[in-house]
Amino acid sequence: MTKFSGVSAAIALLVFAVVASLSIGPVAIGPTRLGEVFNAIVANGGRAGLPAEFVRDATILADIRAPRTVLGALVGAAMALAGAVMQGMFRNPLADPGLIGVSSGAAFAAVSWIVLGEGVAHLLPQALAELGMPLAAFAGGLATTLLLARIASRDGRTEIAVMLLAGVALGALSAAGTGLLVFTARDDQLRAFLFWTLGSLGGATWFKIALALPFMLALGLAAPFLARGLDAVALGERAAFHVGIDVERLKRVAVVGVAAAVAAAVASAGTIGFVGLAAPHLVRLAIGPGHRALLPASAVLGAALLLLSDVAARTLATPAELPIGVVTAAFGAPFFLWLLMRRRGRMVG
Amino acid sequence: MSEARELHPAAEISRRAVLLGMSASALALRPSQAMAKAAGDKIVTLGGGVTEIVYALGAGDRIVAVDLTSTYPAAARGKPNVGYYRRLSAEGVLALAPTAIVAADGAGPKETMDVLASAAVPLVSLAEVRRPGDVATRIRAVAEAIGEQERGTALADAVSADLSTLAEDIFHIQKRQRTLILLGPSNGGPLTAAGSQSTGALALELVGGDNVAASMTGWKPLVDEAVLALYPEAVIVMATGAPVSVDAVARHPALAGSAAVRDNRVVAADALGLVGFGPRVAHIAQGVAKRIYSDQAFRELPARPWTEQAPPK
Repeated sequence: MTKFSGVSAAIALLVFAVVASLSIGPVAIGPTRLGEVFNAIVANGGRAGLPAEFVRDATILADIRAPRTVLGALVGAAMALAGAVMQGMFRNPLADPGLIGVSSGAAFAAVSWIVLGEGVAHLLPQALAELGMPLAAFAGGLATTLLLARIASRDGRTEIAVMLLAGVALGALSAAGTGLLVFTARDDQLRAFLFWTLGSLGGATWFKIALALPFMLALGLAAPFLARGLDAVALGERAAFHVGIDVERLKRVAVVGVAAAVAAAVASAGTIGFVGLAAPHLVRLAIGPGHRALLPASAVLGAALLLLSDVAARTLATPAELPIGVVTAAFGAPFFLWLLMRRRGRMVG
Repeated sequence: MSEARELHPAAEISRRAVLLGMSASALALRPSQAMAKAAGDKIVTLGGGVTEIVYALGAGDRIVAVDLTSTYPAAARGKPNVGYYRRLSAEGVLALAPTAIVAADGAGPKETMDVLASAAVPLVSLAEVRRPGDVATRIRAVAEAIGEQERGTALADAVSADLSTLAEDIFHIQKRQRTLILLGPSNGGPLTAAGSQSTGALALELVGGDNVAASMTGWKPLVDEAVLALYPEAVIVMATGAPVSVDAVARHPALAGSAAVRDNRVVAADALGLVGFGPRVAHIAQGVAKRIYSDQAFRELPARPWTEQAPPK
């Protein structure tokens, strides 16, 4: 597959996923009805005073499905892009954002909020208090990674090997803290935490998207700079230095950018596994390891895969919602294994 | 008796002592004192509802330790704590040298309960509350376990009477509200609601709401738009810890356009008092029912000492 057709295919899949996400759900509003409702809103010049037969569907589309679709696309894109950057930076096909502590830090902060936050919630303004857990998760994920970057840096140089090992240690420490809090938690708190770790796009609002968007966008805007650097780093840090790449700056931008984007993604939808690992691999299989195409294509594919997973998550057990992490792993992992077996030896870019 | 209890020989002995106490009552001794002695004055209560019952029976000062969920009455919080009742350590409980242990359903883990049962301490494990009638049965079982049968009968009768009053009033309601019962606020994610075969479903039965999520079982997260399609006319939010902001719940995208929010029928309810199925259950259920059926007349329930914060003496 050529780069162009590969990227086009990913974009086509994303368009399909967006339409599917907008037109499939427990309430039957298919593509035709979708168009009717959209036309009615346009003809009416807004949703106020909309004819009664359109009100419910307009609410579902504008207040539930549209924000959910946008959030899903953003989270999927951020996870996949972050995964591709991490795999490039660590030069390791198994790398994912979990390596730099962001998920474990976010999980620790999330469970801290669930178990201990009851006492401090009233100190926050109400709009933020109801988002206390996502905000805590974001802060926890970002702080853990920044601490890790500080540990792994000396004299302005970041040691990748130190970072990996320190990341494992910090992850273990966060897990210990999480375990301790889980131990003291009540059932309702445990349930809240468990479902959070499995991820969900439920409760998506434009406000939540507005909070998360800048951090995801930052990584997207850094992608062109990162792509050039990561291509050079693929040949080794020394080689990259000799072709004029500021390797230290690259590492800093990559780590901070990934941490911010993934912390925002995890905060808005929980720790959804597998998309960040699998999407870049699928792209690499199709169009090769060059980061200039790999990074944007991974983001597009990640967005599409997460949206399709969410369509399954919200329709398979309705009215209950399957955790989306269950869907990404249950459908993604076997497919990924099949690809691995078919294309053995060509995976490691 | 539907109450499934695990009676150890030691418990059997104490029951005989209780029976002795009863025969002593025939000899015009002071019955409740004699029975109380049999169960001793070092009771460990496992489960918030159980603790409430023991306090309502006037035996709060005989409790040596409670579990983490025992937050009512306020005096219970001052007692030594053995941790979360589903994750108990047998040694931690036995170290208190209890003379009676009363455990709610779900107390565990099983290994710990096995150890407690085989230790020479009377252990009473209560059955799950599945029907409204089980509330009284449970009260009598707790009363028997701590040797307060007479007060137990009185308390069980009082709570049953209050529940019957509420049930009769609800029986006369023409149209039941389609109700969603939520496990706390959403924390920015999906709403978690009670399906059938859950404590929430039974609470809804007491309150007189029709469970819109009855097609699923247990407590599960719901798809936002499915909530909208279920058309809840009332929403009950279980407050498990901190007070719940009803406004925040009402702003959730799944509820924002619902009849429940439009008609101001989003109600927070104390989770321990309602789904703990302790002695306060009738009063709390009626409080919720009054909000859900605001145009309905409810008979005033008699003031009961156990619904006040201060423990009865």
